[in-house]
Amino acid sequence: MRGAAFLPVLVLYAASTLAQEPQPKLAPQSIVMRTAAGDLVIRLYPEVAPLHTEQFLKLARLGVFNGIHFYRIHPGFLIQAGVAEDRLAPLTPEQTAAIKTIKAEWSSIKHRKGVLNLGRADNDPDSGATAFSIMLGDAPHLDGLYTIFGRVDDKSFEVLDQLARVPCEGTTPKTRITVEEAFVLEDEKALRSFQRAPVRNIADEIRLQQTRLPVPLPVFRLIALLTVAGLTLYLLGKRASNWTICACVLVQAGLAGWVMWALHQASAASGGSTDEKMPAAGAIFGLMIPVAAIAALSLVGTRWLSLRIRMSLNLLNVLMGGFALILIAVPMAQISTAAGVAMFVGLVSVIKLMGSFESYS
Amino acid sequence: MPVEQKGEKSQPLYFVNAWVDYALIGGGSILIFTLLRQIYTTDRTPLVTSLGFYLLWIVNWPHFSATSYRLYSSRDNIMQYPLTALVVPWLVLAAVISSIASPEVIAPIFIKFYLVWSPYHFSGQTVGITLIYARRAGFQVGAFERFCLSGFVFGTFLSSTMRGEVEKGNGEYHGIFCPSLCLPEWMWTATQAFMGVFGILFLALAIRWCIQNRRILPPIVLVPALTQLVWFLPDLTYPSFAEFVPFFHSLQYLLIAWAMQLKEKMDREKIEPSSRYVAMETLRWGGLNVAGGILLFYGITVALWLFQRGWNGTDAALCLSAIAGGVLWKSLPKSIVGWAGLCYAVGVVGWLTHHAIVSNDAFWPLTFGVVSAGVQVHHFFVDGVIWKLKRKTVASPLMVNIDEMLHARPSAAHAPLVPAGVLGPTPVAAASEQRA
Repeated sequence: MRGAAFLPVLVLYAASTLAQEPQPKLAPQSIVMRTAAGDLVIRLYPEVAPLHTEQFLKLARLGVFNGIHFYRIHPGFLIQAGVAEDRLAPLTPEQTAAIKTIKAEWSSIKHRKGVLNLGRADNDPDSGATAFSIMLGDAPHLDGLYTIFGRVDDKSFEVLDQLARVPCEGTTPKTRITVEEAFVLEDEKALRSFQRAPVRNIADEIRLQQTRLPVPLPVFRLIALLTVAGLTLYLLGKRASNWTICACVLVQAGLAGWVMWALHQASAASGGSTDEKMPAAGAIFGLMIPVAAIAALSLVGTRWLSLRIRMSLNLLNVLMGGFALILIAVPMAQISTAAGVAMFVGLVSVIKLMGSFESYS
Repeated sequence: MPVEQKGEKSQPLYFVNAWVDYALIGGGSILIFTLLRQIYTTDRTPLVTSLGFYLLWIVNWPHFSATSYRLYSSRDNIMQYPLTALVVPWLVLAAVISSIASPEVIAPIFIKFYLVWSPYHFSGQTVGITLIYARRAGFQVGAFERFCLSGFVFGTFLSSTMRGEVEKGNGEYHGIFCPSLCLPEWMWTATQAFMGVFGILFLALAIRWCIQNRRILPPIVLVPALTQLVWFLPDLTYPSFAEFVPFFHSLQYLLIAWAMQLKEKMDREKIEPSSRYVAMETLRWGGLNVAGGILLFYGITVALWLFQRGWNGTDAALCLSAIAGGVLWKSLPKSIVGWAGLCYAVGVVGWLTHHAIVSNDAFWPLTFGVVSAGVQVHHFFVDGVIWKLKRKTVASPLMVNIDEMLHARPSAAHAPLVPAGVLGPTPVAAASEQRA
């Protein structure tokens, strides 16, 4: 009974303690990170961590966070992302130049759910640059050890909960969870009028990711295997039949052309700009024209071109066609093991073939 | 099936002598590997990276230049390999320019292509050098021995490459990030097993040869493969040593290319063997390749960088004068004036490079990275074509020993390519015959 009398006092004490915890001023700008689970809206603390705030806004405006991924998910503790070097697309020189380590900015803010801190090397508090953690729960043992520079807003908590459910091996996600796009909302008004992407079930999204490829995954697997088969035929047939090689080159050119067409269709269907959806298309198309022309020349020129010249021309074709296919398929390796294996075998086969130039005399 | 060579008792085993050959072919690598690990550091410290970089200038880049020199130094060579000499450079240049124009899409794939080809190329050289010493030692390498040797050496390449490709992060080369192929972990394990099995098989064949012939196989035959293991075995090597691997690879190459250059020139121009000839030609060829390396790597980068940034009058005047310096050397290759012209061209390129680096232009690293990859890819192409041991004109001079060029030998000094049946089997001709 005496204990019960103290209960209101304890509640009041706890409430007053919470009330004493500083509530940092928020920057007018917000950073939105679009993920498969929905939008994470990040609010920054310009007074607590001015250097961090300035740097993160700068990097987000430059597009550094586009294509980064969540590489560690520890339910109940934190999720980590932001290694710029592991983005899907490489950094541009301008982006690379903008990335700098930031000096630690200590504060008394606690590590609670939704708070962002900057990742750093264990022995150097000033070594953080782009990698950051978002807390999934309270972590008092981290207080004072890492620079806290912002938090996600309350509406993003649902997205965080979804991200915490991504299937992992240990704490490494089995599927790449990418920040598809990151951008800055420049003021409160922009934030208020911002239409958030709906929160989505992450399990469904992971399943859907594979069907959202420009062409279905099985088709890409088929292309990868055909590439390997084509290169194997080159290897086997290089001394046997010029026709075999030409046929393979034509198949290769046809496949690459078909993939381009499929990419174009997918791009048109989604309303995205062609440049954005298939930046390599121009290069691939540019390669395919000489590939087809040389193959045709090699086929019709059997009477007036020596075998050595024709074989060398075909090898040039293999190089250009192989490079075009690699251009398409290497990004596929990120989500398809078969594509990765096929590309590796393809690369080594092309390299091996290159030693055969001019060896038919 | 290993067979002892008949009639090759007098075949010189070394290009120079045991000390030099062992040191350059792999002994130096293994020694530095041990010293770094035991005495200095396994980390890539500033001292290590600086030293590695300067060694690139004087050894690694000249080895690329040596390949180009060998291919382009005479019209006959160019006509012997017309596609490699006249088409491949344009293809590589197109890839370089496309990569600079598209740093996010094409550059990473081009760099990936280069990064996979580079250790493959190292492996090809290791197999080639092993075969050369095996022949010199009288250890004829049959199809199965060659298969096992290649399996082991290329297994080290597969194993080291696979290790990088099973990781999900991006690889980095001069600030250009290229995506991993995200291969499954078991492939790395499989390639290690592949390498181990073929290594044991090759060793067993070598031991069997020793027993059958009651002779110890000269260790130099096995040194290149052992060196390759030190270079590439992922669990064995470490960052500070990795910085010097291109240097050691180039040392191997330069020893052989140097011997070949001396021998071919002596035969072609009917020069009498003498220490003066060896010294002067070494200086000329060495100096030319140091200059060539700088012009290849920095000269092309500077040209593309200036093109990107936009030329001004001073740039144009400097570049034209550098080209004039190069033309002067080409016109007067044996005179001091010609060499002064070449030195001037190198100086101009050096000055422009310094200017580009201190300007802190973000495009410089990209351009330099892509051009470096391009020069090396061109080297891989050319090397794969011009060093075919099946060709008599390539294989014969590779059996040379420095003594032949220092001291006159009436019977063989100028007759490396004479058919064995005409004047009797000279060591060189016999070695060629063996491969036929």
